[in-house]
Amino acid sequence: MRKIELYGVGKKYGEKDVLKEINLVLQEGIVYGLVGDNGAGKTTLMKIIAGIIEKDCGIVDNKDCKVSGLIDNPCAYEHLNALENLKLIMTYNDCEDDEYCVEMLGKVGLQQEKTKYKNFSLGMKKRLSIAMAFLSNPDLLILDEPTTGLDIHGISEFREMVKSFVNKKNKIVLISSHDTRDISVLCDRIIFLKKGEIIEVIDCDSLSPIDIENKYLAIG
Amino acid sequence: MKKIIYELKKTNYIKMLLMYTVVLVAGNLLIQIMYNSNSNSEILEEKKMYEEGLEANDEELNELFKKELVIIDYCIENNISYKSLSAITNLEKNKILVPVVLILIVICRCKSITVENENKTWILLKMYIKEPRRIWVMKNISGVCQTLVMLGLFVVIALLYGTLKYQSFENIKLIYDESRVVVGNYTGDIVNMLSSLTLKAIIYGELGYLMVMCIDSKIVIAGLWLIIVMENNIYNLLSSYRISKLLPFEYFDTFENLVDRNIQQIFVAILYMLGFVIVIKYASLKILKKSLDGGFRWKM
Repeated sequence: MRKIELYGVGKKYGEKDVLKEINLVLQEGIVYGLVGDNGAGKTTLMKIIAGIIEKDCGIVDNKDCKVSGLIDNPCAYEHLNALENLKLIMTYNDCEDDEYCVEMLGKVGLQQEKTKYKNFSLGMKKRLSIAMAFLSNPDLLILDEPTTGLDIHGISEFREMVKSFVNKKNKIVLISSHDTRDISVLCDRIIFLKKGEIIEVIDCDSLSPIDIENKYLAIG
Repeated sequence: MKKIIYELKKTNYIKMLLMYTVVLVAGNLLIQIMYNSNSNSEILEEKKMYEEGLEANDEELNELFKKELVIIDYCIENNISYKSLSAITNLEKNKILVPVVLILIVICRCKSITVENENKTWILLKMYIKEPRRIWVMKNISGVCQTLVMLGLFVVIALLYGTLKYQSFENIKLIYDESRVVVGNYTGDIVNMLSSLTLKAIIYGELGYLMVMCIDSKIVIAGLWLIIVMENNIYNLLSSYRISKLLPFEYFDTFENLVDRNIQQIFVAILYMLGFVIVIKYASLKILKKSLDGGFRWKM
């Protein structure tokens, strides 16, 4: 069984401890929700797991695990259109499958979009970043506030994509969101993060968005 | 190959090339205005101008004017067009565009780094390519392709413009040598110009690529533009100091007069260029690795 393990992971920005002694095991087939205040260290934790930034201490065991995701603000190349941006990510992954790129664009509702990325709205940028994240068929999918800026159709399509991704392929998904409905609908387990520390990890089986909010407020 | 094509596409290289082509064509137009072919009456006027110039008390100028007068007389006697223009002479005259070509090459080289800063896409490279060496190789190969295309375009446009305008490939140059006029050609001048242009394109391109990783691109481009324009002054200023051996200006001078230099001087210049490029490449790989690890946070 594929899993990602973190032991004693810490990170400082200057004098500030952004993450302290993080111990966490992420297992395949499970969607994890990461919940925490602004500045709690969610994005930093995601970046460390994705290998984008270096940790200051501890161990991250994600050997042979292909990671992809949407972290921070959506980004892509301004002079390219949606399809070209997806094809570029494909070449980064040393593969070529134009049909799959078109299919992914269809899934996020951008198949007809011919304009360049610089003319995209925030929602369209987000949709493209989601398509990019799914495109490389990762073992671990990391999504940092994926539904912010999406319209109702976009949110619904995104949720369907995550569900089918996990069901079909037994992958690991880590989602951070301030929208407890996303967490409630998509996640199997919730990680509560506060001031760089994991406060609690709970199962999300039958928790409603209000339950999650209350639970978070209670531990804080 | 696809990676290289996309590397060029994402920097909007085609648009840059179009702009570059427009600049070169405009430059050629300017050269045409400056060096228009002389009719008989214009030659006589020019002769009169040189004769009047002889009255000045500047010995160096007088010497130059005398030589030009001998060449003009030779042309009138032998019914040869003075300052005849052809595709080849047009290419030689294009040497005044070299600083512009160099700075545009530098801008293109810098663009491969600045495009990632502007679009905040380092995170994509880090996430999907992971290995800094692969990113570095990709960017360097595309950089070499860019430089070669731009150098090639410089030659092609100059020759094409010259051919269309003058419909001649004549390669004749009248030279005043030991009190007589001899017929030579522009081949040596062109070899000198193209070899020094290539060397400078490599050195300045690599320097720009390295510097833009650490410093704001506008400062890098402005700084290199100043150096390109002032390189002769800098060379003269530093030529008596030991440090000039470490700077590229002395070797630029070797390539600018390549035809007249001996094998040893050319060998030293090539060796210097190789050493310079290796050092810069190594430094750029180290900085790229450091940047991708979050070491240079202001750029990431």
